[in-house]
Amino acid sequence: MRINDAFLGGAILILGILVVWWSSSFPAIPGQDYGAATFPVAIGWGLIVTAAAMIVTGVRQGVRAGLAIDGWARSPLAWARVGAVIVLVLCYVLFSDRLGFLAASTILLLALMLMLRVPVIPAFVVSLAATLVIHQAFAGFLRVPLPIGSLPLLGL
Amino acid sequence: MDALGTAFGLVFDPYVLAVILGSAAFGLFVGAIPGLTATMATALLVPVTFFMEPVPAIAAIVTATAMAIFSGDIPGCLLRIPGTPASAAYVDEAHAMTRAGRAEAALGTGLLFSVIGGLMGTVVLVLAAPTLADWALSFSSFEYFWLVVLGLSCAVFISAGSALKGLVSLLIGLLLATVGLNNPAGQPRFTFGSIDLMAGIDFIPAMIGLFAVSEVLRAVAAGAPKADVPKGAVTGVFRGQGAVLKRYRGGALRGGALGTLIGALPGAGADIAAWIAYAVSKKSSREPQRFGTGHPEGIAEAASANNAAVSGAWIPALVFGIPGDSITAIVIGVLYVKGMNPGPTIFIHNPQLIYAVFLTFFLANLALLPLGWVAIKSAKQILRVPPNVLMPVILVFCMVGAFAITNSVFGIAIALALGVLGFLMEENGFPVAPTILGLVLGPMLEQNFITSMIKADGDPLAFFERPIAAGLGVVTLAVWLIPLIVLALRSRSPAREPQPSEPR
Repeated sequence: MRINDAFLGGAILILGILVVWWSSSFPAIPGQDYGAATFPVAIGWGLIVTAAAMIVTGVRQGVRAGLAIDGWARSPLAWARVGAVIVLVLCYVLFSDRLGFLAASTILLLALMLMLRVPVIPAFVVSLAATLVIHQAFAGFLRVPLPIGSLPLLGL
Repeated sequence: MDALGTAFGLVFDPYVLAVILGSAAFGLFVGAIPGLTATMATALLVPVTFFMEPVPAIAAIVTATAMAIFSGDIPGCLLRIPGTPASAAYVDEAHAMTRAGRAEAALGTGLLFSVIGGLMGTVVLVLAAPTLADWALSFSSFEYFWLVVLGLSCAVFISAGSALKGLVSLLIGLLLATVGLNNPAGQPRFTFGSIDLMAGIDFIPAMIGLFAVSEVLRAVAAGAPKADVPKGAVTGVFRGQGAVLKRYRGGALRGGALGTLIGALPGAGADIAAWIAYAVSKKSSREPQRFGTGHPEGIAEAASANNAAVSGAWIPALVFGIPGDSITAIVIGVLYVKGMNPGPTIFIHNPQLIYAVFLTFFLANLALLPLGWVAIKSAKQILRVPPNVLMPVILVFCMVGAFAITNSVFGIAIALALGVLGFLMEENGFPVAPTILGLVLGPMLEQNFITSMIKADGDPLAFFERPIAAGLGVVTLAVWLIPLIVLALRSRSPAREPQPSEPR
């Protein structure tokens, strides 16, 4: 999936303007001309200038080729797979606290592997085994407080 | 020499040696899997090293990267898919040798010359770093400002693809670095009222996202296809390598020197070193017509160059705290976490740690010879690991790693956000390395810039008053102006070549 430089440049231009506008309000170091605003304002201007250059090159390439959809991006299934990964990780962020690492990680792995067409039984075995190994490595050896979970049955 | 003795004690400790062996196996595995890069090996290792003492932590990273850069040659040779981008330059050559039934010779050459290149880079690192550090002791904020700008500029102009997109990538990294309270004025910036963002965007979840989560997303988008592993065992890896070594020793030396130099340039790493070394080898060869038909000469020089670059990248990282490539950008972050702030003073205050790093480099590169042989022998098993099982496991590993740094799911959210960002950037031809360089160097750049501006009272000429600062400033400006002048001259000439499509 390739988006034309002109459109990307437009998005970056908006970002640059927002950065300059927002950071102009940051206060300076007392008694100095420079402070919290100096650097982000400079970055914002940098973004504006590069965005302008990108718009110029994009228009030269021809805006008609606005969105070149090739390779994986032609398949709606591929989009669904990428979206599913993002949603699953977000679910882990939201619910791992309650589910606990063991349950949350096994569910996440199983869902991903089934989506990638791993047969059910191997997918389940590997999900469980990988979860246990990662749990042992991080919670066991490295003493990372992975979430235990608050559901009575799953809080192993 | 007392420090050297201490360093020996630090490195030749059973625990450290076990860590080296473990990370060697890890690095060889990750490098040999197509789609998993040496940078990703480092990204996945960092959360684990977070809990180690400084010496084993650094040893783990040094070993894993040296191994991964070599083992990237294995799928390149057998499947024509480079395991790491650093092997891409000679993948066709190596695969041509495999088709001619000489896979073992191609892999043997790759391994032997990787070891030679890695050792050469290490020797230069050992000799150059302390001397440079001595000189760097007199640097003020002006010199550091220019050094950082020079480093970042090189990252923009040397990186693959368009310089414009490299610049955007760098600015995004610098922008991410401004989030939080950590700035000269101590003001909260871009925190959206979030307490988690007050502390800024932690670089470990960020680089796990940029380099590992983005790769998982890419693999998932492609449906994690399986590779076709050729049949038949690889035997006699070292047979006839003596003759190859004798014949191409000049090329190996040149590749090692070139690789070290390119590695030491900020922003250019092992992949660019390999491309340039391969091209130089072809240009100066007595039989350039044989290149591309399964001829070991280019492989020898480029394999030597990419491993040398891994060591060379540590020179600016240790001496100035300026990374030579995206791996050392990660390393610098790790050094700060370990309280070993990189810069010339580390050579005075902690010489035993520096010697320990040097020793690890020698050890890792020497261990590459037998361990690389084992990896070649087990290549077929490694390549049979199905990606549709591996990628989900890597994703969970990323998530746990991002969580472990602050023990909060906020790290996972950052890794996910930057993973999506990195994925979209790569899809559209933006190099990702400048982003991580910007994120790591942003605070240092801002600090030196603001300090210098206050010292100079806003006078830009003050940035050129000290001789070294002036020299660095002029070089930096040249890096910016020369491409612009070339561009201007080119657009004035009437016969304009058609716009080439940018490489993916």
